[in-house]
Amino acid sequence: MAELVLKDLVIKYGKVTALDKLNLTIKDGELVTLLGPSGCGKTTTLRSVSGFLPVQEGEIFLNGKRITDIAPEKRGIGLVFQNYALWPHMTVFKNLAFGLELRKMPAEEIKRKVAAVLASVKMEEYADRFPRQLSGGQQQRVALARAIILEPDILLLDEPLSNLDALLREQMRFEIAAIHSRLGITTMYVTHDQTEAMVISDRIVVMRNGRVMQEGKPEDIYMRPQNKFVAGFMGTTCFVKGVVAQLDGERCVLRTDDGIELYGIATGLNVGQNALAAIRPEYILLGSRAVAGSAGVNRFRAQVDRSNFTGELFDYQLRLGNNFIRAKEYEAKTVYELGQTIDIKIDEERLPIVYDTDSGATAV
Amino acid sequence: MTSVGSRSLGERKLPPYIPLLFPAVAFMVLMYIWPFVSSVLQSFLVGKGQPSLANYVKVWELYRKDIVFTFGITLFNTALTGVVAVIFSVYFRIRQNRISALLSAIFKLPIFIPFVVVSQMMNSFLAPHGLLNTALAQLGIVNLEKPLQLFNFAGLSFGFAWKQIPFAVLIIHGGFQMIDNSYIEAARSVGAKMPSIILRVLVPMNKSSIIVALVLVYSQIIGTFTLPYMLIGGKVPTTITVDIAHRVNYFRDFGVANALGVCSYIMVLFTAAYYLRSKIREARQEVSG
Amino acid sequence: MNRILRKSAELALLVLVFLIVIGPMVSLFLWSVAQKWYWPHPLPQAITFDYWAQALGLKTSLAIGAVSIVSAFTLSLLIAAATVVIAMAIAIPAGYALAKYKIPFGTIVLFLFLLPNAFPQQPVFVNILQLFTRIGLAGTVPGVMLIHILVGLVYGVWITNATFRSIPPSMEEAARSVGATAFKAFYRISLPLAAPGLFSSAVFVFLTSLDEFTGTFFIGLPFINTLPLTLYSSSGYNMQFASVIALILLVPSVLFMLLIQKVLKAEYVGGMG
Repeated sequence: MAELVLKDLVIKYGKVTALDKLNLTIKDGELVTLLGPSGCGKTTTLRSVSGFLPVQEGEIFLNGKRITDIAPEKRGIGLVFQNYALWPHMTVFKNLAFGLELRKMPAEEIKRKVAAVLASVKMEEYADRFPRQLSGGQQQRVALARAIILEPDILLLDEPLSNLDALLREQMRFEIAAIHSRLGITTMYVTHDQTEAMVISDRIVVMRNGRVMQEGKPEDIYMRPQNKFVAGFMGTTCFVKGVVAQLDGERCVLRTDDGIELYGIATGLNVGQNALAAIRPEYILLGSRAVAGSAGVNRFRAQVDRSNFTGELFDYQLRLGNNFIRAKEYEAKTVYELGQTIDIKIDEERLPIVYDTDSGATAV
Repeated sequence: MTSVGSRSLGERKLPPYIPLLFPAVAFMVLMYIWPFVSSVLQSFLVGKGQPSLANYVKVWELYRKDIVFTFGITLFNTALTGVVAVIFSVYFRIRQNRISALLSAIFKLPIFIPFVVVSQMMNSFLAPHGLLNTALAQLGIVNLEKPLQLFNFAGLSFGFAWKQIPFAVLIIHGGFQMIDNSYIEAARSVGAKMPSIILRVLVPMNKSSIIVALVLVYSQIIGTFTLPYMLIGGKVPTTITVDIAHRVNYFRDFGVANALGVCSYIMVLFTAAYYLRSKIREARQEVSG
Repeated sequence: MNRILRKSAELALLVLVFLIVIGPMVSLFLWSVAQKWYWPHPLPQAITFDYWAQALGLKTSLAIGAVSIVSAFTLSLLIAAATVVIAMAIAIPAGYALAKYKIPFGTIVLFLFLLPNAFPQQPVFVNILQLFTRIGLAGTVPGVMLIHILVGLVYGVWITNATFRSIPPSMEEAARSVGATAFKAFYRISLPLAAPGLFSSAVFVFLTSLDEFTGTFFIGLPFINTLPLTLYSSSGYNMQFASVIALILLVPSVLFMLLIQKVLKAEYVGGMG
């Protein structure tokens, strides 16, 4: 069982505390993504697991063994770097064979293993090429192959797609997810790109300032953010301030200072608290679609403040009371003009309401 | 900073770079190319200008031991410098603590000290009654009656090593600095320990700097006059440079002196070719890139 | 346990290297103040600053061979200064031209300034001696200066070339677009921007001239006595004196190189001496 457990990890850079009592478990075969802005501690966490960053306090367990101060080359990890780090003076074959040669594996077996791994990343014909002859995406695939050929207990990927252009990044996302589901290696993935995280992860850990802000499945992180940071980090979010007026289980009513009542989903809030409604543009229905919606809650009249056509969709900025919110419409049947007042409906099942503060750290 | 020299249509105007380059080029042609060519030509002339190989015959008779000595000491020290410099450069690349920083700073000193001063230093330090022997005698390593005689191959090597190893480290370490940490970490992540990392990743990736350093060290050692002159002087065996000086100062014999000079040219032929080719390629790349 | 072993090995290395590098310098220093130093004593038995005083012309000594080196020092400085002026006057336009223009025979010109570093220089000096003897320049100050300019010019051209290359052409082009002539653009834009590199180049040429031995040995002796030559001639019979001179030569070299080492590439730095 190649399970990774981080217990009360503390890492400091001089006086700055990068990780403050971090606890994290990655179950056998899971792909967990550490997601967050620069400086949130995700790379620090990954480097402490890889062994290249010493730990001040806490323990790391891999596969039941304590690896906290064991040298990197003895940890049984597979590492994929942002810049691929393929050795330029070695062919693709040699890059992959290097680790096997160090283990004194016989030449025939090495050849077989390399061929098999190259096939799994679809790079069979490139065995004799040099890294400089490969494109970025191809290099990244070889880097991945090099990491998995030694059958490591855990795979660590440090923003592996950041150096690729947008189109390639999308493609590679799917490939990485496919390879993971095929091989089932426990994986820790680090990125600042939330779409990437949502596509490939079994679970996402959102981090900020060395702490875990929320952990969970991608849908949960997106639909049920537990604090302002996570709500704002995922998707395009517009916040509307208010006070919790009613609470019925999960269902919550937020009243703004200009009297607008927003119905949504909340966790861990009390009546009377200051809160924020996290409005996502894709959950706002406009015009006739708004009217066609069933219940009467969250039906408002808003004024079109800005209208942009981006090709794929119409991007509106609407004025709701004293607030400005964004709305996006695909397949627009009607185009709404500046200044026009229209009906809108916000899906109350898709409106998270969160506590109004930055520091709501909720570690699971 | 490249643009085409201006030229008026239909008119033949002198390109602006001609007057800018002329003084430097003329100076080099007069003061270097001419004497250089003359040295080669003269080696084949005797008496009133008759072509002959007599000079080379004399070189073979009188100086072949010295030629072997020069070649030997150059090869030995180039190899020694190469190995030691690579080891130190790797050390500086991998370990970054106070000790390595201090060492790195100490290493810079010999580079800045002119060869004349180094020669005098070695003259006093390596003398039979010099500081090295004194220190070793105090430690009991050396017999008071028989101090180390170092004004020979050994002392010369010490002097060369003293000056050239820090210089080579400067170049080679510069090359290692350009290797990103991720290449080393990738090697460690597949289980490589330090010796493997050094031999199979770091050194091969830094090949060009190492070769440049070796080439420069080699040609510098062959051409050195100051150090062997002060340490060994006229004793046999000595270096070609000392022999050339003797031939000129005592015999006014430019024929044989030049023959000796041509021998040293031949010894650096390959390294000179490599040096010229790589520098010109480098300069061309800067222009286009 | 492993860590302690490694740390102490590193420390031992530091001490060893320190002794090897500093040892010869200490030897020099001790000799420069030694009145009596007999084997096998680790330190001189009697100290004197006599030799320093003599060398700097502060007093006359009774010691054999001690002469005031003030004249030699002054000569070296003057030759070095003149060398810098002339060498830079030739090198700067050449370096600028090579950087700015696409020259059809550019490769050959570069070749010219690479050869002195690729081949041993002594044979060339020897033949220059022959030449100079015929035209009466042997053993004269102008003769020695020409040698120093030769040695310095190579570095001068390469360093100024590299300096001008690092200035984007758009700088001068912007000046031309507001009406400056080619010369004005060079003088008011490129030259000031290149100043630090040019200064380093000048310092380097200066030091090269100050420390030059081999060429001066053949061309200058026995009439012209620069400081390095004085060092050489006194090292045969007066250890103390030679050490004083060596130290006097050492100090400016180290100081100046510390100053400009950041600006220069590794290869030039090693070309010292």
